[in-house]
Amino acid sequence: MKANKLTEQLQFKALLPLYQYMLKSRLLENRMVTLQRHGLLATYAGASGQEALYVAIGYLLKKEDVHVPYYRDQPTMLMRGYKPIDLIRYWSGSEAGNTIPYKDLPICVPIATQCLHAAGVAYAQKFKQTEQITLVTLGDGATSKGDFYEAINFASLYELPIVFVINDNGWAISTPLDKQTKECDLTKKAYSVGMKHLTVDGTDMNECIATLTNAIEFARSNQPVLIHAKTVRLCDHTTADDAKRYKSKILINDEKQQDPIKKLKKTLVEFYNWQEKDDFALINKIQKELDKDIDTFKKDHVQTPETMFEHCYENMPESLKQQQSELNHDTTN
Amino acid sequence: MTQQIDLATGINLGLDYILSTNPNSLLMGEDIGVNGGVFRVTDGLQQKYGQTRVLDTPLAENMLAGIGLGMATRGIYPIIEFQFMGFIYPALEQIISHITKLRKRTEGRLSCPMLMRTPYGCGIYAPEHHSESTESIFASIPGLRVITPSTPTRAFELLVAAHKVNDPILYLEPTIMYRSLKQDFIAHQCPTKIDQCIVEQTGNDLTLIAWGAYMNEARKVTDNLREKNIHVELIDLVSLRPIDYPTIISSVKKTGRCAIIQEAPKTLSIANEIASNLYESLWSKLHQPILTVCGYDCGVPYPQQEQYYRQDVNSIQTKVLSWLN
Ligand SMILES: Cc1ncc(C[n+]2csc(CCOP(=O)(O)OP(=O)(O)O)c2C)c(N)n1
Ligand SMILES: [Mg+2]
Repeated sequence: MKANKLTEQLQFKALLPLYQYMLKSRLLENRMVTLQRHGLLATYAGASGQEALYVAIGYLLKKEDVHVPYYRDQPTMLMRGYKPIDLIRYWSGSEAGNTIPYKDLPICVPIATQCLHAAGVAYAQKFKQTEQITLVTLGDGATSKGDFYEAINFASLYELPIVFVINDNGWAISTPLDKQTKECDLTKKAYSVGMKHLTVDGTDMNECIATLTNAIEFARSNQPVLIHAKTVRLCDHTTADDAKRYKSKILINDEKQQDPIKKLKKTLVEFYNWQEKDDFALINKIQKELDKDIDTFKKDHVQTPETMFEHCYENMPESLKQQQSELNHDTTN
Repeated sequence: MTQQIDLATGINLGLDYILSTNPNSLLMGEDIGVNGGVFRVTDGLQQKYGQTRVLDTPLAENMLAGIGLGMATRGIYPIIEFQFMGFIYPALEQIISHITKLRKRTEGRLSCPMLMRTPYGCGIYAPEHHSESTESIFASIPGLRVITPSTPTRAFELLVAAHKVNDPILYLEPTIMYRSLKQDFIAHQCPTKIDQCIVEQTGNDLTLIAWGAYMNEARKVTDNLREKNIHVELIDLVSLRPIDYPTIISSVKKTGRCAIIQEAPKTLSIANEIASNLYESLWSKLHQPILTVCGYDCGVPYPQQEQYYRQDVNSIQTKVLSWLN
């Protein structure tokens, strides 16, 4: 594992908050998994191994820019208005987790569909002559779907202010990338639509910042970019999955060596005199914040039945109102 | 020799049977090989039949359906797994415009015998889009057959029977039943027709129709009502398209009362379809209006509210009793 002295643009002062966000996401992830095991969450998809990439995205996007996530973007989301409790609520199975102050799009589960939404957002940004850009993330598996090609084709054709970031963690559930495509250099997917492309080690914060800075600059001048970021997925696909069924012990161990949090910590220790006691204090502080959110969640996480009918339409149609009152009648009897 | 099996095992045995008896059949889908499917329904089949007959495909549902058609026209029998019902929608163009129309468009020169399988239904506390009950959409597609089993044995028999029908078939697997119900299993006890209802219980007081996962609730309601001296004729619909009206009509003619329960939202649904047909054909024979107990028109909600969306035995029974009174 190599430690990197930081580039000038990323000195310690800027770096420490990034490390904090990475840790916060990882610690939240551990708590989420426990909550799920205790039956309080439906399913949960973690981001461990991919935090450097996602935190770099969160760091570089401006507030007015639009982030179009899929479901593995927790670290970025924590930097863009989501509080841990929002994410806990989402994974516990409540739309309440999707209400945040930013104008970002919500978590997107149907694979690759978000790529098209993002291209539409970017078109609108250009149309309205904003200075904003759109950044959309997708998994390696998502590159197999037409939605992805359709989106990069449109974005390139109309020269949109957009960055597509492929978080290539090597796996789509149990399917490795080389069973997904014959061309595992995913930047090649950009060739056919004439789009700029970059590759990055998504576990290396320094590289992520440099590459994303570049890409975002291009996007701001209406040059769309595709980034192929290599990461590792240190967790199961979701809490419903068991990676031991398809990953060898050796691979699981190799992947651990790529842990971006450990890498960044090494840099902090070697070049910036970060000490174990600092780390310990930081972890403690984050855990205490998480305790509070989890307590609040446990006290108030049950939705009432009738809210299920709300927000289907701007104004609830009579037919739905009638079903809503039937349900109320049933549950009060 | 008997063996205790659950629904997922029934399906696994059915797939195994088809693969072993038809050398031109193959399975394809996401994560179905090495991983054995996210519900382990295809567990062990890739080891047994190899990677050319059990394919872990790229992640693309439209692709699965489209190449399925191509294969089918050349005598391959593709069995496609869509990982969840909520992820079939990209394939709708292939299903609606091609797969189900090929026979008609070529006046029978080409056809598209294939089986598409998918878990469906709510109640397993899964994330959004993983608990869809949108069978009404599929049951409205001309040229498609839609079937769903409600016991492990039926799961096996329906699959084997479906494989002998040369039409495209959507086989819906009630997710909540995969591991919940166990049954003694003897292969090939009774060959099943895929387009016939099964009258599980005979009774004279009312006809109760359900399918898939709700058969669990329907069976319990039937048992409970018997204790109250109400005799239910219980029908497992099995085939959601086409619907076996002769069986249903002769039952309702006898009982004069019909209740239908379904998880899918009410508007433009199978329950409404059956009700409307019964009104047309049996108007004067009905002792009272037909009861439908359906999902709400907001669709299956996020998991926290599934418990309110899905009707339990109690709530169904209360509705049936107050309707009878
Ligand atoms: C259209 C669609 N098909 C199937 C699924 C089920 N599914 C959820 S995640 C996943 C794998 C995605 O892999 P990848 O794109 O590499 O993202 P990762 O989860 O590895 O970050 C699949 C098949 C889905 N959510 N959407
Ligand atoms: Mg992946």
